[in-house]
Amino acid sequence: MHDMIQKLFARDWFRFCAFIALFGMVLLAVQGLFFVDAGNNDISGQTPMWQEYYRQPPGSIEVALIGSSHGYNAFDTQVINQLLGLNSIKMGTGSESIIQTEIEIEELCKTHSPAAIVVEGYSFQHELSENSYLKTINSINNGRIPLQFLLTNPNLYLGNLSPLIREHYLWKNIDRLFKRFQQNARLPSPSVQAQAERELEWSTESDLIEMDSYEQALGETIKEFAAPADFLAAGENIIKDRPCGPLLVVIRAPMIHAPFTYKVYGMEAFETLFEKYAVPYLDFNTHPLFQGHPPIYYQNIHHVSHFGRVITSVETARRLAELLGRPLDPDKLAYYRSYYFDSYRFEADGSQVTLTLSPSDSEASAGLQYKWILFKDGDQIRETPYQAEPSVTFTADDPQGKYKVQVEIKNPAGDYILDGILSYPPGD
Amino acid sequence: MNFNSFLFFPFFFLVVILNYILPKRYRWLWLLITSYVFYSLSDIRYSLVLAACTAIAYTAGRLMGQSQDLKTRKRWMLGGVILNLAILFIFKYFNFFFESLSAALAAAGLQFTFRGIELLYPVGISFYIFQVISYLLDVFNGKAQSEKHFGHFALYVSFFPQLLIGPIERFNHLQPQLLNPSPFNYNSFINSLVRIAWGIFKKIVIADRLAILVNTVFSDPQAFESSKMVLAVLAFSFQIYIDFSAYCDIAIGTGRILGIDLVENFNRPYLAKSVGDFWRRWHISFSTWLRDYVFIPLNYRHRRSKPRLLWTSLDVMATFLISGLWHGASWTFVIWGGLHGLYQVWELLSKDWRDAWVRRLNIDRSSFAHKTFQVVFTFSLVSFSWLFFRAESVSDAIYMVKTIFTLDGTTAISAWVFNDGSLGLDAMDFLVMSYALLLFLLFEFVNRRINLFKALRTQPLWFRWAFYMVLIFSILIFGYYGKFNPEDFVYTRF
Repeated sequence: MHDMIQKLFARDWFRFCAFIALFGMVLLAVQGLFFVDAGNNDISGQTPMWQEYYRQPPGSIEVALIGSSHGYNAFDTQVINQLLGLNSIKMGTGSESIIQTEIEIEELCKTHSPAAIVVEGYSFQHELSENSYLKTINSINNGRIPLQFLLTNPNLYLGNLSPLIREHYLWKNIDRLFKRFQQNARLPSPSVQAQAERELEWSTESDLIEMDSYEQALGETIKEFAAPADFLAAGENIIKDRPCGPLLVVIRAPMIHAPFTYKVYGMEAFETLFEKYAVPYLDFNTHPLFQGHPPIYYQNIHHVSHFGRVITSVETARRLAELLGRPLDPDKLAYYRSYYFDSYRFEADGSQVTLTLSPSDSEASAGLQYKWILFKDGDQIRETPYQAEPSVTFTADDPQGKYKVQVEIKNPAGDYILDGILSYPPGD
Repeated sequence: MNFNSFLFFPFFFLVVILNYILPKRYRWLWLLITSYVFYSLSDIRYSLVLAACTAIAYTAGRLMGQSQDLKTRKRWMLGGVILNLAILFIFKYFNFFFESLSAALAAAGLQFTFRGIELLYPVGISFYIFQVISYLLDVFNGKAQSEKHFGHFALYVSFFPQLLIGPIERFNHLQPQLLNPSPFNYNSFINSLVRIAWGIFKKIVIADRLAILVNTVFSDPQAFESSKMVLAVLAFSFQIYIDFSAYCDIAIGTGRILGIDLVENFNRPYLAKSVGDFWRRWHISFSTWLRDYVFIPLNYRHRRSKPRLLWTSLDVMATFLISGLWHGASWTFVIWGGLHGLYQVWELLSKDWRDAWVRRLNIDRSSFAHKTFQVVFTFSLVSFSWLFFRAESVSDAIYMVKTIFTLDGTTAISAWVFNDGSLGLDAMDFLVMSYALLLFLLFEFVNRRINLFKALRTQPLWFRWAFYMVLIFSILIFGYYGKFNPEDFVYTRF
């Protein structure tokens, strides 16, 4: 054996190939030290969300809500947790595709055994964006890149591996590299934790009801493309062979129109899969509460507002309760249902403008209190104390002025504050 | 395309593979095609200029070769040289010449308005035109046979490893190798790869970081104190050497992989003990070109002129003014060349006087202290001249010289803090640059006595592999990356 090795190493071609192989192995071994170019996604992006995920004790996640920005906007874990009495967490990446969802479910199942996995439906429909994909692999495993990504996506991965190849902007600043070493070495650092909290805050608060091109978007149909084979395979793999989560639910967030920056795949092929494997499927676009797409439920033409989110979260919890055979907390249900609103309207009388919110159930909403904060051209001009009236009157005497009305709504029975911003003239 | 663009690596891989697959008699054609592709990838119009220069030199060379009459040969030689210089003038000096003329006439009270015209600047034109001129002069002087085959000659002019910034090759050295390259040799192949990797390390890890510091100060000298200017001048001294020698390392390495030995262009120039010695070590292919085709012919012409020393000094000055002008169409380069001329004239004129003082003071020339003094003094003179070479304008250079010698601003503590980002490099980059530079200087120092690349080949396998790994990973991890263009090697501007 020893002689054979010596003979082999005496050959030039063998030594050369052996060195290349060894170099490849060392390269793989130091993967954890490599940044992946994730476009504009640095440490302030998705990474803190994932770091929050990694802080969860193993086995503690009971419901995982996975998806793209549609999922982040549509699911409020506080609402779902309180209604179901379970620990849920949001995972995912902006513009996420089902390929990434599959990766995230694998990661989830390494340390958790959730009772249910909720996949937001637009993950099936988003095309695979390289940038978004890189955000996922940059965030997962605290930025250490597992071998399987290299093996399954060699082109994409190699394209980001070598700075020489990629003109890697992160490597220019060597200081960031060392910060990264430190972060990997001792997570969670206080600064990262604070960032993660802010990120979570972002995901549960603040909505803008700004309906740019709302009417136009309502009238347009979304051009959909046939889902590619690898998407269907990933979808089927998640449905059939996911390593954990006995219950898989697909919930499609309400949306008026898809953004025009990426391709949208049609849902039909996936719906066939859901039917075939009896996957529970809830589409808020056809839900009675979202019929006609009331503008108050949207912050823009493809994401729901805080008003919409309360409803999608409550209805998601209701569906999960049915499927998991768990009771919904009736008091919490009544509490969150008090936050249901149908619409809002601006009425002008000369320069006096009155904004009125219309609760879906006046009786249930009777105890709500409203604080109104008025802005003109970005500057705060007035703030009211909490009051019982769901309306406010203000002076809009500047025809060129852009007015915004922020409303904070609270039900004294709990600590939940619904926060919304409405623009006058509407649509600005 | 340039050596530090990613595209070069797959390109070169393809060139090498096909080069060794093809029968030897067709390799010249393959190398010619790939050389033109290499050049055209920067700008296809460059190739037209290259082809024109090649055609002119080839024709003139052939006509010289066909004639025995000295006058006819001289006519063809001058025709070829003048036409090539005319091309160089048009692309490189046209604006400079007329702007200078306009300024001179204005100073004399005459009205002449010249609006600069935008002209293509083919990268490497100064190098390959000097190469074809050397060919024409060698053919005329009977040192080289005129090339009969146009394709073979075209390859001599355009061989891609040395096309952009040299080394400037002589026909007799390069042409036989191009037609009959050395066979593939594994050890040479590995040595060449190491040489290329070392060149990339020098360029990406050291020179590109030094460039940030240098560019920051030289682009706005008014914003910096004397201490930072000194640092920037020293940084440029190292940047230009490391950058240019890195290119040559890669060029020589790529050439050797193809079975061609290009000439060495540097021999640790900053260990030179005089400016004359510096020029025997710096950009050797260019300095020997100047020696053989400018200085010696001039000096030969003045061999009977008296006083001898004066004429020799004038010849030295003329040679170095040409050297300055060759580097660029700007008065800063002319001053740089002039300074080097003056340094050497001083060395020439003061030699006896200095020797007498050395004897009188009983100074041991072989002592370490004396040698160190010579090296430091020479480095200081050369660095001072680099200030003019790098300055954006003559007025900037004069401002910097004044600031440096008046120690302006150096009483402030901030003037001595270099790693706070004010020089364009943050603390970590500054540290990486400093350590890498120290490593390089150590390499240079040790390499005087021991050829480290050769020594590496005699080490056990595990050591060699560990060294290769460290080198490659240092490039990957500590490289200063960004968008590159051919101008990023300093000498591609000349």
